Amino acid sequence: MNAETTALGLQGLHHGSDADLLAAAIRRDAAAFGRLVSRYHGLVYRIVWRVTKGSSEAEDIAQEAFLKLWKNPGQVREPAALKGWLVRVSSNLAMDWFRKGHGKADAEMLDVADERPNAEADLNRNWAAGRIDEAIGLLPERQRLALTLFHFEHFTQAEAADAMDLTVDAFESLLARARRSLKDTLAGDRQELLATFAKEG
Amino acid sequence: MNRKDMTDKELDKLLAAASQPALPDGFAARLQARLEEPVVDNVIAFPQHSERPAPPRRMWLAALPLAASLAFGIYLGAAGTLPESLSGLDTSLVSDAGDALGLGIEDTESFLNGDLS
Repeated sequence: MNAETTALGLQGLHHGSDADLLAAAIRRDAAAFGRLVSRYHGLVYRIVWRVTKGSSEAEDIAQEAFLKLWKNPGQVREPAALKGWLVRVSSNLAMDWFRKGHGKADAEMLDVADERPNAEADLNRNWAAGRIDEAIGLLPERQRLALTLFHFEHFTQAEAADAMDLTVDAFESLLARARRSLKDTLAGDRQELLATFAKEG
Repeated sequence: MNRKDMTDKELDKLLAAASQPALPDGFAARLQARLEEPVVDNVIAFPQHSERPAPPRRMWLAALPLAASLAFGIYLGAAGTLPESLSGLDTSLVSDAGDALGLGIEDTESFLNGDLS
């Protein structure tokens, strides 16, 4: 067990249902809360990162969602739906942050280092990934969130719709609009993009 | 080239190549530190009455003529007298208006009987 997991008392990471851990967190059990953090911090961080278009403040915003949970764990009405609650709270925090105009000034947007050894392939792949990230970043926030939940976090449509307070039909429509926009945006670079990934097999 | 040229399968392939961030090192430790920060009380107390500044002296000076005027009016009302300058007021306009309408409390009965002459 590394220092990260012991900091919040994250022993026994996979023990206990969300409902059990949340009930313990309501009794101010820091270790149980640490297990919830460990279970969902990756998901929450990636959602915030995507909605804020890779902002360097994504970590602070993701942590804010967990702070809200720790301050009042009882606000989660259905403990079994904690995952959806965290998605909703973190994405709302990220969208609020973005709407306040912070995103425009962030110079570190979507800058992910690729440490693989093949320099030329890396260059092409970084360009392609950057182009795709850029196209995703051009989507309206709700479409970006829908795409993130379904394509990157592998939520089912029903789960994603629930987390976004939408009907499944409305979610499907939102996702379809996002995909259409992406096709439009990437159409000009289609051949180069596909060629880049075809080389990798 | 338009979007019809890109298939759903091709788009899925491109999406699979999008960047996926890794959780920053030290996330849990920094969260732990924030959890241990004391809660800042955002409630701001109302100022006490004693802190309110006293009104400037000029305000009292301005109030003096108003008070004197009020006292004089009360005195006149109680004495039932009016100054000479007010005794000559022409009140005929008011009484003329009543005459023009031809209505007074004593005319109510004839008004109700439809006699408006």
